[in-house]
Amino acid sequence: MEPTPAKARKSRGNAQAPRRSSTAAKAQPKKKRVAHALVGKSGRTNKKADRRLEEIVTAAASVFARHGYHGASTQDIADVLKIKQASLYYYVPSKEAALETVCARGAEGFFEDAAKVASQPGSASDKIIAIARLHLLPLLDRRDFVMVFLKERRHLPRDSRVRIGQWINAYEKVVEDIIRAGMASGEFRANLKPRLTALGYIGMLRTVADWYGKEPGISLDDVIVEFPTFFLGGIQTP
Amino acid sequence: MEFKPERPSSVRRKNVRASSAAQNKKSSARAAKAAAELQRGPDGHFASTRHDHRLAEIIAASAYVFAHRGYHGSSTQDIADVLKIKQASLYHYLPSKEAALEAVCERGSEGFFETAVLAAARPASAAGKIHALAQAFFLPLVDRRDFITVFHRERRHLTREARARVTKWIRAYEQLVQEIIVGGIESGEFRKDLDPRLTTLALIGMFRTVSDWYGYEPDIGIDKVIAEFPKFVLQGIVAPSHGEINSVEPLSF
Repeated sequence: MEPTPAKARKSRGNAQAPRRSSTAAKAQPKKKRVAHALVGKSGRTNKKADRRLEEIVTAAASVFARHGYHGASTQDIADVLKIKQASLYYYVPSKEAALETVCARGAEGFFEDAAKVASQPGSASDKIIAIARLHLLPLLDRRDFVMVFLKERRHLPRDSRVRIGQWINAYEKVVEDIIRAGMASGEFRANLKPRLTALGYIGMLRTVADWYGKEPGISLDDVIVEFPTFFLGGIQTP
Repeated sequence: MEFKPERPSSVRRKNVRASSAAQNKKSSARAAKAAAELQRGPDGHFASTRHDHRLAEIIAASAYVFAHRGYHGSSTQDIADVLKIKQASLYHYLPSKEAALEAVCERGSEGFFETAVLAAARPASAAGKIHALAQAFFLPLVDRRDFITVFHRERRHLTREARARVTKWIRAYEQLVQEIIVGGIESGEFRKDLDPRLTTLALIGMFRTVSDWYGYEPDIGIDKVIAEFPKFVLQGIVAPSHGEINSVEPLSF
């Protein structure tokens, strides 16, 4: 049960929406102004506005990651950029819209790629390793976004939460199916419980975001290599 | 696991008093006074058991509300609503929402360190200690999942001092786990090439997220988690191609 292509495309569309005017369309009164800011008179994208929006979204991610969604104000976001709070609303209609954009970026491509991993050729162990890469690599260049996705998405509006919930279920199913396939082929222990095993593995990977970057001497490479190794072979001496 | 607020006996008693008041105002005033005397200790404060009982109810209701709506998403009114009491009555027991969070987090982390110390001190193999650790870690989920969830998710909203205490405590816990791992490496029971710190983080990470889904998975009871998770850590999931899986004896506290 992987996300349907239509849904996946929709999610991508959402992730990139703020670059165009479609997210801005949510704030009815500001619709025209935002559209005007982002798309110049000639209809071409306004590069400067694009860049500014990017800065704002990045600042929002960093503020939400540090203070939590409810602990952060749009003033905090403005302070990071040393701009006026009111200027933010020119780009992002509300704090909630900022959260939505940050969460979309935090999970961008993730669920689609997970479905791809499942359909790749290769052993179940290879796929378990691929899942770790997929899960952990985004921490390298967008850790704040991932953190916000993991911790703050429950403050999203209901329909977004439901949509994300469906993706997550699909992702868990992907991992579960890999485990099941490994059991069927004799590669994994036959007495595993696929669901529990999938939850164990995903749990192990998910908490990396909490400490990654704060542990001296541990690089993401180490984690990407070692975590699947633990999970496949355990820590006991063979 | 659904929180079913018990109707507090004091409310019931009050209703009885109210009905008698309708019959005879004077005698009801006497009865109320006597009831109040019963509730109050000699120092004029509410008798501690009764007070403690209500306080425990309020903390449990707070845990339920915080776990389901998040600390910032819930109000003291929500907590009062669960217990069907007035919001103002809460303040008799807890000075603030923040104090409620602190009480919930305290209960959510209670005993973890102590039982982990016991697990680490067992006269057992390193594998045996990991099994004991898993049991100590997961069993509290059965009766205080909400508290544990709040501890994991909302403790960053604690006051600075409380957070500092918690961080210190978590470091100590990690240290304890790391010592078990190092012990296993030194005795040759665990692989020599393990990074103890990274292994510790993997183990705790895997254990910690169980509270996020425990109770929502219809087919997964705590016994399965306690049995399977240490195996993931110790043996992994790959079928043993040659030789036997190191058999791990089940342990009980």
